[in-house]
Amino acid sequence: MSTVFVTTGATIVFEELIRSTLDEKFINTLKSLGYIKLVVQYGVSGAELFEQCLSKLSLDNDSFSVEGFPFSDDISSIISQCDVVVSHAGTGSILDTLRLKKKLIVMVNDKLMDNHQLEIAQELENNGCLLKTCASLQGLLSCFDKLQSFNQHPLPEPDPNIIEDILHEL
Amino acid sequence: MWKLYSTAEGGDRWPFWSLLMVGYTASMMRLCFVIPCFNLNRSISRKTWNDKTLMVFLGSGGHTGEMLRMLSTVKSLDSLKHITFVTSTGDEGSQKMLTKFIEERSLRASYSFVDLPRARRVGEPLVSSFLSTVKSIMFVFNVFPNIEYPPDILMLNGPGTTVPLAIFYTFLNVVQFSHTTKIFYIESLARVNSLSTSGMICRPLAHRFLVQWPKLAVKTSTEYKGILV
Repeated sequence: MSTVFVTTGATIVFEELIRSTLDEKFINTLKSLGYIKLVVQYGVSGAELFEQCLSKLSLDNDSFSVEGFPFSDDISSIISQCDVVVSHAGTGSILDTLRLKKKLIVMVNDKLMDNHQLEIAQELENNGCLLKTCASLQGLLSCFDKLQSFNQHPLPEPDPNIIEDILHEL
Repeated sequence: MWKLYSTAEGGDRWPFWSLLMVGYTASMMRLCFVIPCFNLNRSISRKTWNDKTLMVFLGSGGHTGEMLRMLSTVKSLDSLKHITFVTSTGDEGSQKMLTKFIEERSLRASYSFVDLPRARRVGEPLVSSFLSTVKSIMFVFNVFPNIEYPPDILMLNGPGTTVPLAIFYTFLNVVQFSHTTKIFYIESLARVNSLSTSGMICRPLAHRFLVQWPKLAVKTSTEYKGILV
């Protein structure tokens, strides 16, 4: 275990998320907390930025490894093999993580027009289900600090009969 | 103009107008009875489960994920008569998720796929999205009358092309006397404080309309049954 997984979503490149999670300061924080691996899902057009940020890190003789890939058909199996997820505020990624009961930090992309993503991130933070940060390195670092003592509330499980009952009635 | 209304010349115009009035009144009554927001028709389906056909619209990414999560809670999904999965053209992500869902679940019900051109891209401005919605509506009206299994229930959860489907089946419900498609709309988990545009349009047309946050349900007078995904 001891892996952190970063997911930026499939559509646009979330630059700040890639930059902050591949920043030297963040990597050092991870190392000092005992993490040994960082996996980054950088999206369809994020390869260049990922490589660029990776090249600025000096990890040659390190026990800490960094991996990256554009997207995956089976994000759930990747999430289940890590301890912490740092994600964009997409509903799918949030659900995938919380349903697998992993600790979650959500970085909200303030460059998105019509920031509807903010609503669900805010609400779930209010409910204690995740930690939320703005799109900056400082925000990320301070969230990771809080993570250590974070008592995560699980997302309520859905009632398994509701949809079926309604379909039967209709 | 007065001549149109007058019956002075032997009253040869009144049949036209009274027929028009009767026709109009009958149409309005039909609309009130069929369209769910008027709440006049509360009948429960007389069809048995094995006879029911379901149509599920899978919009992009997050919406598809939510819809498939909801479907996976339906234990008796396999014994439905038929399920039609509708996806948007070019939405490979959804098609992959759907294939995975069918495999992992070993879905035994008979099922089929239909492809729809997108009604509206995310964040598309109102004028051009109106035009692409019109285009989608025309496509739906062209293709859907001929699909193999007309749905008894249409499940929708939000993205753009939801609206043409809802409009089409509402129209069919009004003009067809032999069959009703019940529209079941579930708003996305991401909608915490307000309904999506599709939600606002579909609300009067849906037979059941669910949201996933209690404050929103109170604010919009819709149903809340907990988080569903």
